[in-house]
Amino acid sequence: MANVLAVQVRQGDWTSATATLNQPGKWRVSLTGIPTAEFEDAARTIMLALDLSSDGGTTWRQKYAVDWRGGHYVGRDGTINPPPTLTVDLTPYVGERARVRGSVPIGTTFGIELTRL
Amino acid sequence: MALAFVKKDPNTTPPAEATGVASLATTFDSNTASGNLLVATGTTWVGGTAPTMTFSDNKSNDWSSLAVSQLSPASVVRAAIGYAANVTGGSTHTVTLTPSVTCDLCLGVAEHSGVALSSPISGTPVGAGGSSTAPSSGATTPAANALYVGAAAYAGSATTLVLNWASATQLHNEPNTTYPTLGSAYIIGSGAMTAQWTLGASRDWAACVAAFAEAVGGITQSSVISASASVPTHTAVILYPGSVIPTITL
Repeated sequence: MANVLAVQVRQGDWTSATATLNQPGKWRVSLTGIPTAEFEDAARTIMLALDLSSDGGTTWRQKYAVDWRGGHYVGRDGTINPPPTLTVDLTPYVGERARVRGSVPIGTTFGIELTRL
Repeated sequence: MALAFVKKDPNTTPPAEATGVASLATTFDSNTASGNLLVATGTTWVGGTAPTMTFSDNKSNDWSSLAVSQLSPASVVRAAIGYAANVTGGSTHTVTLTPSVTCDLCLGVAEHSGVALSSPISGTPVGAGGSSTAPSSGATTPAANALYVGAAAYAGSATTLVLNWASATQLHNEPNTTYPTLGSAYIIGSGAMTAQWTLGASRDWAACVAAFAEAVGGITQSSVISASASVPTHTAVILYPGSVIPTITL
């Protein structure tokens, strides 16, 4: 599954395209391209969820979720404002469909990358 | 009711992992059972001051966080164990780890049955930090047969993190330092126990362990003590809450 959402301003509730998990292993969801000014804005939040469906996309269930909050952040290696990531092993769900769902209260610029590690 | 492991989430060796976030949540694949114990193990790694860690869920259960261990400020790794006893269970049960500041997180959760319904901690939870190849929590000594849960994390470049706790069962293991790292395990037994791992090379580490008391005959030990200390005539009301309380004429 190579699912990349282009960097653009997003607001409100949205969902990505869906894709079938066809390979076991770890997958990473990254929030990319957040401008520095928006990264530093503590009022900005993004709720990001990874949903799964075992019936071909008719019904969905949230499996994992992260909340990102703006504000100056220094990663443990000293990097300023590194891209937030969620990494999970989806081996038990091979054959199911997956999607990324978000909720963005304030218009924020970002993209999403799904990467199989 | 004997102590027993029911299931874990994520149902994989790696826990859920995130970097640069304000919270991380994972949802059980199947229903959790009301009355059971949920134990979450979480680790954080951040440059600067180590955050506090709060566990919660979407069933309004009462979570406690304990056995937090912390390393030096130069490599701030924390490991913590959170628990909710006698939970309200059900479908789509989500457990969330929320640190006090944005940081890197690992989270794993396990469901256990046969644990005391209230005040389940037995003995004193302990945590430790050090720099060596042998993460070790220090010993906890519960009063009787118990469920022990341990967690460990390390900082620095990647190496192996191998469970070295005799007869314990691994729950989750993430030795890749792209994330905070997390090793967690449980064992059912008695006496003084220390949760231990072995690192492939010397690193700064944090480790902790807690023990949870077994329920006694389906009733918690604390409930038995409370009932026996109460006025005996109140026992009938407690045992038959649906019955008609007789009128007492003074």
